[in-house]
Amino acid sequence: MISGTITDASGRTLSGQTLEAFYTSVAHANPLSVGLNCALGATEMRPHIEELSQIAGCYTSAYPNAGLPNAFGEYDEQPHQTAHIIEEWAKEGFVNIVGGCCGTTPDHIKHIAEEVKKCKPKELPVVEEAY
Amino acid sequence: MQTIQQALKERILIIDGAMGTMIQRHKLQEADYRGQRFKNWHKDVKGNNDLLSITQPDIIIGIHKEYLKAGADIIETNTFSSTSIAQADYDMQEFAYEMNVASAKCAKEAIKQLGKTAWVAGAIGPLNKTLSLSPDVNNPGFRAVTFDEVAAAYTEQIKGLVDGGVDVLLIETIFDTLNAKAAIYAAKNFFRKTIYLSCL
Amino acid sequence: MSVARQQVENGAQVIDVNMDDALLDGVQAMTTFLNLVQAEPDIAKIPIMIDSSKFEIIEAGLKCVQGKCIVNSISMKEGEAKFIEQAFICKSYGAAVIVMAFDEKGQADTKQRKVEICHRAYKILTGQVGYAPQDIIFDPNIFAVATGLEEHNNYGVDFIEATKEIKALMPLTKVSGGVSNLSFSFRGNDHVREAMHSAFLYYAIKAGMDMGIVNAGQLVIYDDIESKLKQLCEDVILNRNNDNNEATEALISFAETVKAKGKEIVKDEKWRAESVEKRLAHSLVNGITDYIDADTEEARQKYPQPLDVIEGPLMDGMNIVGDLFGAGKMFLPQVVKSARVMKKAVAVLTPFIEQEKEDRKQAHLAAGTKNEEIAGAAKILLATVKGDVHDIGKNIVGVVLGCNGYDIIDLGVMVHTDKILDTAQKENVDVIGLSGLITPSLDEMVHVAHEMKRRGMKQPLLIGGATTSRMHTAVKIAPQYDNGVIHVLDASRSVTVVSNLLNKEQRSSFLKEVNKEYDDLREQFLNKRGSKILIPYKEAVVMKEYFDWNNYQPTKPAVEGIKVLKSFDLATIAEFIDWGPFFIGWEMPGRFPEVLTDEVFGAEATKLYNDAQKLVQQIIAEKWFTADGVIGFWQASSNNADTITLKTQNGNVQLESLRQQLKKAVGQPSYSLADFVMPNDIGEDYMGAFAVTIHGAKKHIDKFAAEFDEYNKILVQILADRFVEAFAECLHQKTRKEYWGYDKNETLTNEQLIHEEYKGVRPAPGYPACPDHTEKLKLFSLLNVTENIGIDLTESLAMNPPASVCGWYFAHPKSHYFGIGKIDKDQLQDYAKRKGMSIEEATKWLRPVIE
Repeated sequence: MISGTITDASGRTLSGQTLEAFYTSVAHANPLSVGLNCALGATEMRPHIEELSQIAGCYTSAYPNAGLPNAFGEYDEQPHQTAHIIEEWAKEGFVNIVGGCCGTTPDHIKHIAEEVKKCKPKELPVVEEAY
Repeated sequence: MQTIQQALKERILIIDGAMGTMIQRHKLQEADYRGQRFKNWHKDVKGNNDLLSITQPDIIIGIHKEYLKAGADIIETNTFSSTSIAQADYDMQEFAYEMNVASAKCAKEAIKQLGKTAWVAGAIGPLNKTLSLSPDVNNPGFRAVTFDEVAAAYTEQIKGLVDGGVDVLLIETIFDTLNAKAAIYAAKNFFRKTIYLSCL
Repeated sequence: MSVARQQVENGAQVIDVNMDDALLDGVQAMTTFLNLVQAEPDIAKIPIMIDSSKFEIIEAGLKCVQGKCIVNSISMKEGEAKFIEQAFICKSYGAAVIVMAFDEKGQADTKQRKVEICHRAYKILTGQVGYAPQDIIFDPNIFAVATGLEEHNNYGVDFIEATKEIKALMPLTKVSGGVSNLSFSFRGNDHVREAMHSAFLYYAIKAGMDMGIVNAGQLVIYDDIESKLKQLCEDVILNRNNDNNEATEALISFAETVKAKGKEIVKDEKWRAESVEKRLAHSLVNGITDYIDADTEEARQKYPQPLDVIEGPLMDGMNIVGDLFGAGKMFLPQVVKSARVMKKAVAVLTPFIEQEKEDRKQAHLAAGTKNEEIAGAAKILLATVKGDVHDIGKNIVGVVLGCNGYDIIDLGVMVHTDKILDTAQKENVDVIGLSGLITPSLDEMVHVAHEMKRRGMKQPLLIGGATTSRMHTAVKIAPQYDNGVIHVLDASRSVTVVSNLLNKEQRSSFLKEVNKEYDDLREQFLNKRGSKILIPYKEAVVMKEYFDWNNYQPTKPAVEGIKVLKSFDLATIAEFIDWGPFFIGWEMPGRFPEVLTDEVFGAEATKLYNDAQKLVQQIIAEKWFTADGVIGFWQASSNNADTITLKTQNGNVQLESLRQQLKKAVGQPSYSLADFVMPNDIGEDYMGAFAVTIHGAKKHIDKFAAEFDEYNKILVQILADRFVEAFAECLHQKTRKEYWGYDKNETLTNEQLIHEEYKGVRPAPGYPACPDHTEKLKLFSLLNVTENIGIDLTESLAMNPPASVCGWYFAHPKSHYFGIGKIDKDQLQDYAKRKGMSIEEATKWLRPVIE
């Protein structure tokens, strides 16, 4: 399993790669899943996980922080808030593995687990024969 | 037991949440981190969360269990910084291998105690030194660490995790892809040179 | 580093880095250099090829690069064991590898050896090492030709033919080569070397070569090589007319000549005596750019501040333009010309305005006061949605709105939803406008509207472009978003719509009106939907159209297989131009040539026509465009339902068509293209396909855009479209008379051609008779379109360059054009099954025709 970190709204890693470049650079690992974690809350992560789920030839994972840190460096996004956003990703079929990173707690995980229980996982893309 | 591959075909799997946030709740002090074994260690180790798998395994097992009860299918080992490079901050590089084995065992133990179907992901963190960026603005060609050093540190970590019994490896929080490539390189060569089946 | 940067700027797609030098410590030099490259985003954005004859230097390089690398190179020259070990190492770094056609016996020089070695390496890499075929690049060795030694003369041919066979045998792999080796004997004569490289690449790429190592700044365009030199180069490369080294000798003794030309123009200059304000207005209204720089500068010195020039005389002039346009006394082409003048004037003033801003900022800083510069004009964001490359209409809307004082942010073509909406939010725009020409773009627009709602945006959304309609907007897009979705029919309406939306008093009543109109449309749509009756698909098949096949003798096409027509004569094509759509493009509807004498806009239409004619002559004379086409013919038969089977060299290809399902009057057949091909129980028929494109327009469009010359930019864009349509018409005629030859004696006028009086049809995938764009993939594969003439397909299957047309040829004299109309679920299911698609995917592509 491989999970990268997009550090800001530019959609790049700290070392400057776009998501597609990142995926291309690690695809040779033939990973079980590729995904994103940390640095962003679920709201900010959404477009990136959407894009990655379209690029990746394997399962996708996402475990964001509990929002962005407040002025005291604490994470205060509530479990149902995080879970609500992640549920939407699941509904759209972006993800196979979800959870939490910095600031998330068993309560967050519980809410997430309940919300996505009813959703179907993303199916692995099938490589079609060229015409 | 169902394999993780089979489970992924059927449903969305849940990975656990933050370890650090939960450790903070225990309000541990320097002495707690040191435990019996490191009570005379020559450097402060408070904040070295990965060490707790050796000195306070019950706390770590407890946190894993809370996440399993909350519905986690995959739990991450407490090894985000368990490499000789990251542990150098505490002068504890020689215990890196042991931390990985201990952390993997904590996670396995938690699953066993609850008798639940779940998988252990060996967490491989990004390191505090990076291969693509120079720490010196005046010398963009400089690197604080070499690819070979990083690959060697990861190889040791991977060996510990595999020996401790993890089900998969999770290379996470990648902000420099070259570090991740060194981890992939380490994993590929480790599995090629040993009899283990690839579980990356 | 500066060489690397220059290579990237010149368009290199990969940088080859080699540090092999006797005086260098290769490992250290490679490490240092690549570490430096990683710190330069402008260079690090393209992939790096690590080039060395020493593997330890290659591995050192692989340790420095975070992106996927290419290793140049490994080979079996020191045996299989070493080759396998090196391949394993490359693979553990995730690198693609170049494999030299080199084995224990030495470098491969003949075609047979090249193919043999590559195939052997392939089997080892994919079988034992686990390499993905797409990560393998073969270098089958380009050697110097024209060296004087006769045994070297066939080296070019050996490479080209080996390439063809390698690609056929191992289709996912790539072929590369060091091109400059070829011309080694012409060292010092770059002119000849560049021509040789281009000519060689032209043939090698056709054979399947994917990439080459060549100086990106020194490559002449194949069509720009003077014909004599081109022929000499080709003789040498292809080893033609080369007995006793004749071709070699001829190329060596070749010398070149150059010509130059110029011209004069006379003008009416009385207005130059007027005041500077009047002169500016005159330039704006008449679209004259000759004096605008000097006049603007004069005005700048006259007025207290540069901004006053814009707000004073320039805006006054543009207001006259706006009034005249509003009153129908000026027409779009003129407004576009005015915009060009305005843009130039503003460009003169901008540096001064920026300077003043900066001065004020500094003054505020020095005084410690706060700078409260307020935003100027309302901002409008325009974009062609993801997957679509068409932007003529969007550009026109941008110009017209720009002329009316709005600040335009044009994101260009193929823009992702997130980029559109992020920019809209970041720039705080007032209105968002989306454009698209192909049907999948409609779905994309629905997605954008959906996302705007999710993001809680407030801006109104304008929808425009050839496939969009008021009905579609009302039924599909408007319900997705609550803060205003308005379909804008053409550029001139955009001004009224935008001004209504931005006027605080009028906005809500305007939106209310639009909403009511759209509600009515939706209701209408639902009612109409109920009243249309579809017959079951099975019945529709029975109701097929019957031709008298027993008395029909199919004509065997004169051309067998595929024929590629490169650089087709532009003057011939120009004779086939249909000028009607040209004027519609400029929003001057009417028949041609009547439009030229139209009471209202005849005079302007005539001017426009003259400008266009002049440009057409220039395009032809200076070869601005390159018209490339490919046609092909195959044995074909239908199955009495909706499948046509083509017999090709590579086996059978099945084309799937759709059939009308609307209930018709008694006895009226349900049309399908499959009915135009002889059923297999009667006999064998033929069918054809074509694709044509106009290359070269973009360069000129970009050039005019850079000069702020919107008028000529749009003119070139529209003419490129006209040329490609004319080319399709011309080729269709040649097909009827010659290439297929089923109507050798046709004598039709251009007018008759425009009215489709010819025998047979050429329907295009994605258009009414065959609305499924995915059949285009088969057409592209049958004709090898991308390789042969360089048309690419976007993810939505739009063709790029945008001036491209493709379609099927049917010969039966009774075949005709028609629209499919709506189809029902039963046909959708049958079709999805025939295509091997999921229902969801078929639904996605056929949405516009699904009931």
